[in-house]
Amino acid sequence: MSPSTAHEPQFRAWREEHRGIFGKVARSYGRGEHEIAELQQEMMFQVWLSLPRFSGQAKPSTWIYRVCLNTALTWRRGAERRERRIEPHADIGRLAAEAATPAELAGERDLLENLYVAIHALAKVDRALVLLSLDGLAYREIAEVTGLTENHVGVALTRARKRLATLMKGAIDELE
Amino acid sequence: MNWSDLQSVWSGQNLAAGADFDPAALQRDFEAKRRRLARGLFWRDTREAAAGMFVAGVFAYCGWQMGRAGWPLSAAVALMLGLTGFFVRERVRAHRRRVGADAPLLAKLDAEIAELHRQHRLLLTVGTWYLAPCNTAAAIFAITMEVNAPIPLAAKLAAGGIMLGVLATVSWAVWALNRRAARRLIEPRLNELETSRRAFLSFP
Repeated sequence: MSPSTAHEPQFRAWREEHRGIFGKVARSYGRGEHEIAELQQEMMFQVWLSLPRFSGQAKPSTWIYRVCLNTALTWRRGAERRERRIEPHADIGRLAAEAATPAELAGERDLLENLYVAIHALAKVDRALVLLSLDGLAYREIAEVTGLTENHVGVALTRARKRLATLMKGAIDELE
Repeated sequence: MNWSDLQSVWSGQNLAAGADFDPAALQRDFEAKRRRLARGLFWRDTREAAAGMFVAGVFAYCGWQMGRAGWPLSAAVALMLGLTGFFVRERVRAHRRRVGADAPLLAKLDAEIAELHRQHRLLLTVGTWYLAPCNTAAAIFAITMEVNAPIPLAAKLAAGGIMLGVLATVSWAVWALNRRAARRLIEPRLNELETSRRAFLSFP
């Protein structure tokens, strides 16, 4: 089934409401402005394409995460560019929140920068689990997105967090 | 700093995601892509099926022209039609097994891996399902034509030798190209996806 103009309002609303998902997944799996933009476009395209199949059984955010992570995990375009070295300072500057003071802003920006670098260093599937957990999804929802059991999610997530903590050594104390 | 602090920083990101993204443009892009894909698949399938049908038609016509002496060509016709049927069946099966982007990650990975294994198997066994029936049909055709042709035995043997040489060269090229495609295109991708799947399911 193809999406029609009837799906457009829903797509527009979701795109606005869940734009953070597109951005975060794209930045966690893509490298450099061009690749991130390309991956983001592809994820939106896949969400649009899959929209007629949305049955309402899952929460829209969970469903969008599923489509985005599927797209990111199986995305092939720009594969050569992905092989390049990580560029930790590329396009992270805009990521920080609107912190109260310049010092806080700089601190959060540095932390986010480190976090993205560490996320990029994780295996692709660990990246997916960490993203979902950072966004506060419950084990049940993560299980829904990944197809794993809740128990397995717990074990895999603990492992992924440990790896993240090791990668971010010095920036954080513990991630339990 | 703990996980909650990290979550707080994470959720505070100011991401302007796809500000210039327009569903109308997406719709146009989607329709263009869909049409291009559908047209590409249609012509590829048509070309493959038509080539098989055409060769089968040529064999049938030659057999019909030769009368009773041309009966062995019915086997060549059957082989070519069988090959066409195999192409169509594979295409239908691949289409039915396709998994949407909204499937759970594990199901999507499994489907991608299964499809790549299928393609890998087809590429590596091209000698069995493609070259063997094609070459057998070509050999039946050549032998039947030569046996009934009013030319000297030496000319028949020479023609047979040339035919054998051409078939062997083309077969080797097809086999080598398929193996190369399996090695360079399919295997790295398959390894990548299987590694992801193992990482997903492995317990520490």
